[in-house]
Amino acid sequence: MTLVLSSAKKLQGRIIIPLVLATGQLIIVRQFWPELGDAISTFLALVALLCGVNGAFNTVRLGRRMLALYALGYVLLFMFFMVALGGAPHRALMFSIVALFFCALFHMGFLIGYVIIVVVAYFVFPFYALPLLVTLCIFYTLVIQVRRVARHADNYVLTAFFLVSFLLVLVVFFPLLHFMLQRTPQDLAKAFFAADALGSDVREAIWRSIITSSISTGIAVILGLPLAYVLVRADFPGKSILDVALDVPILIPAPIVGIALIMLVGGSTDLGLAVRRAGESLGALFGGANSPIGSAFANIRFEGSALGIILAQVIVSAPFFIRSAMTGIRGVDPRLEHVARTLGAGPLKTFGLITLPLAVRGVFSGLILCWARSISEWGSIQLIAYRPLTGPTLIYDLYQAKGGAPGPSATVAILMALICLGIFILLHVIGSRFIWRRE
Amino acid sequence: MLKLQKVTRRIGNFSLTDISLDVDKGNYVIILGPTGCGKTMLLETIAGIGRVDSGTIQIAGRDVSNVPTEKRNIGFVYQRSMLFPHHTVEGNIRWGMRLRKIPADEQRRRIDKLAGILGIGPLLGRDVRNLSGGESQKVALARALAIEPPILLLDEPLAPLDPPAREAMRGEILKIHRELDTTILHVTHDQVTARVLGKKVGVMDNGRIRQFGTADDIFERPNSEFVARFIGIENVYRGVARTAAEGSEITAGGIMLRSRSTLSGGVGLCISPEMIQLAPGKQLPNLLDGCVREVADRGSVFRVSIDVKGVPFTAHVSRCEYELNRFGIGASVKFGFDADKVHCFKLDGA
Repeated sequence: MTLVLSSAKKLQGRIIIPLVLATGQLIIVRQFWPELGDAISTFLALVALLCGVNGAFNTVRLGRRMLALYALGYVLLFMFFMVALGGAPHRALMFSIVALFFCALFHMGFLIGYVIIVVVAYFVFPFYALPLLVTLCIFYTLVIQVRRVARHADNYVLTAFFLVSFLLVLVVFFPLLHFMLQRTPQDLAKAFFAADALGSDVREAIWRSIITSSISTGIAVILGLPLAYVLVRADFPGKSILDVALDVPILIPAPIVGIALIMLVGGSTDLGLAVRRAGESLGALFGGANSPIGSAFANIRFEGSALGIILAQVIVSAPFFIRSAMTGIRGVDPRLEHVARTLGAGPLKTFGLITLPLAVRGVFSGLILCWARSISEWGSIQLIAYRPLTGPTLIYDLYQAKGGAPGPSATVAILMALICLGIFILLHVIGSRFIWRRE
Repeated sequence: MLKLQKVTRRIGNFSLTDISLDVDKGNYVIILGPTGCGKTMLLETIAGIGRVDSGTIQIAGRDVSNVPTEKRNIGFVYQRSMLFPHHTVEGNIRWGMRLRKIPADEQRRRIDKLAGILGIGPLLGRDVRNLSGGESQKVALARALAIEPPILLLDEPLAPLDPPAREAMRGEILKIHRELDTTILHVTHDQVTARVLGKKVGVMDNGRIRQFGTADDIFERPNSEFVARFIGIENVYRGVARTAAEGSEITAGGIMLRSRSTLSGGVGLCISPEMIQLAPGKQLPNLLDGCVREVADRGSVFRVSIDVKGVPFTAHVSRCEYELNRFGIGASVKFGFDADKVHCFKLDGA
């Protein structure tokens, strides 16, 4: 009997205390925010009651401290929406939604973080809400993962360092994300498939970018792979000079490469003229301007041609491939090659059957890097071959034509960024599915 | 089968100097030497991984000094098995045969035979990255043997294994040697392996072969202080020998020892620690009084260090004998050894 009584008493307490608190809130709201009216005030009181009951029945099991934290969270949300943001009717309703989320998610601690992120993104920085929301959500998810690993390894430094790195992630990631979200998919599709002159310019430029950078990646791979092998396996005097020379294109600003190319193979230089003349005579040999092969030969030149674009791309991107391929090859124990030799493979077969398959990770990621660097090159192409337009030069061209306002250039830029990103991800997927898995 | 004549090769500051070696068909030769003495370099030179500076290498009567590795037809097993990680166990064994365009049924026959001898049949389909150390070494051995090389070069294949696996692997190698009649040149720093496996043993130091002979020659009649110490003889001294009845009398550090050696003048001498008897019951030609300095439990034996007038002696005493006597540290002890256990050799440069 006493047991029934005491449990009934407990039940009463669990309902009465929330009721009292909800009534208290109703009185406060009526007092300080009379403009909210009866309906909204009552609704807020109901929300408070629900939160209170949830706290009394569920959260209380997590202990007193967690209950206090729960109450504090509710009060903070109330203060934030009703006091800091002014408590207009739509704010009040916003508050009720967030409060309900809060009380529903409180016992799943980490989900609360997402609620906080939504609040911060939409109410603290409303102008950058979407990019901020995406960035913070991704980062928060990662922090949770890192924290779990760090706890497992009992190494809090991991979490701390990762939190510090957030600033860097923000600086790198945020501007791009903010920019990518400036156009709707419909805008982009319209720009890409437009039937007007601009549309065809855009399509052509993007295709040109993709094709030239694929060709220059191919050239870098064919010529760079042997060099990478030599640089790893052979030790010779003067190797360090070559090693440093490889970094020069990475080191110097791209326009310098462009100027250097203009001075070497530009239209009025000896070499440029010689190339042009050789092309013309070859063209004449193959039927002159009337035949397709003849006219193709007759138009050979570096300045203002795809050939110049490819030349500039190879110069700036090949070092990335070579460096990465070297890392891959360095990871192959030379003794594996020795064993292959004793088993009857010549040096070339050994390279093809042992070294290359085992270095494929470095080689393929070098290929991706090299392609990415090629397609993103602008500074030197701008100088040696402004036309035909590639993606980056077209964007600059549009920007200049608009007198410095983003306008259509931003649309093309987003389109280009998405296509590059898509191909980049595709290459990585290919790598992880078919190439890296064998490692 | 394998013949090296005055092979010299230099890499950086290190060089192999005047290495001459003769390995007969069907023999098992061990090259024993400390880490960094050039053992691996010697094997790689024989395999053709790097050319000789001077001297010649003959395999099966053919001078291969200037023949590239892939045409030398050599089986090679490294210390770390060096299996190709992008092939399965069977793919690894098949690798050399496939390059030699050996017909498929012959490949199958050889794989089955080697798998049978080495007991790796169940592993054939496995990924080589999931093998234990001993299994990897067996696969590496099978891979090298699949091309049926006239000579097999082993670069410490037992070193990375734990003791039981090492013991098992020694058995496998011996089995291969017997059943396939393979000529083997095996380098190691482990004198137990040398003693168990080697029919002939060479001791190498700093790029030179210091002594080459049968296993008995090396372990009972070392020719220098280095060899004696390296094979584990701790009692190595220098003395002056004088011819006497039935051999010689040698004075070393104020102690007079009798030997059967016929050498005279300045000599080096060594006494195996196992041959020293503590508290001998009978009369021995060499009897000494000393003081126990240290007793160390080495598992199968106790190592007893004894000081005789400032000259240190080491004796290995069986556990059973130790149980009987229990030499305490500081106790004085009588010990002795036969005259034929005192081995003398000419000193370097003397």
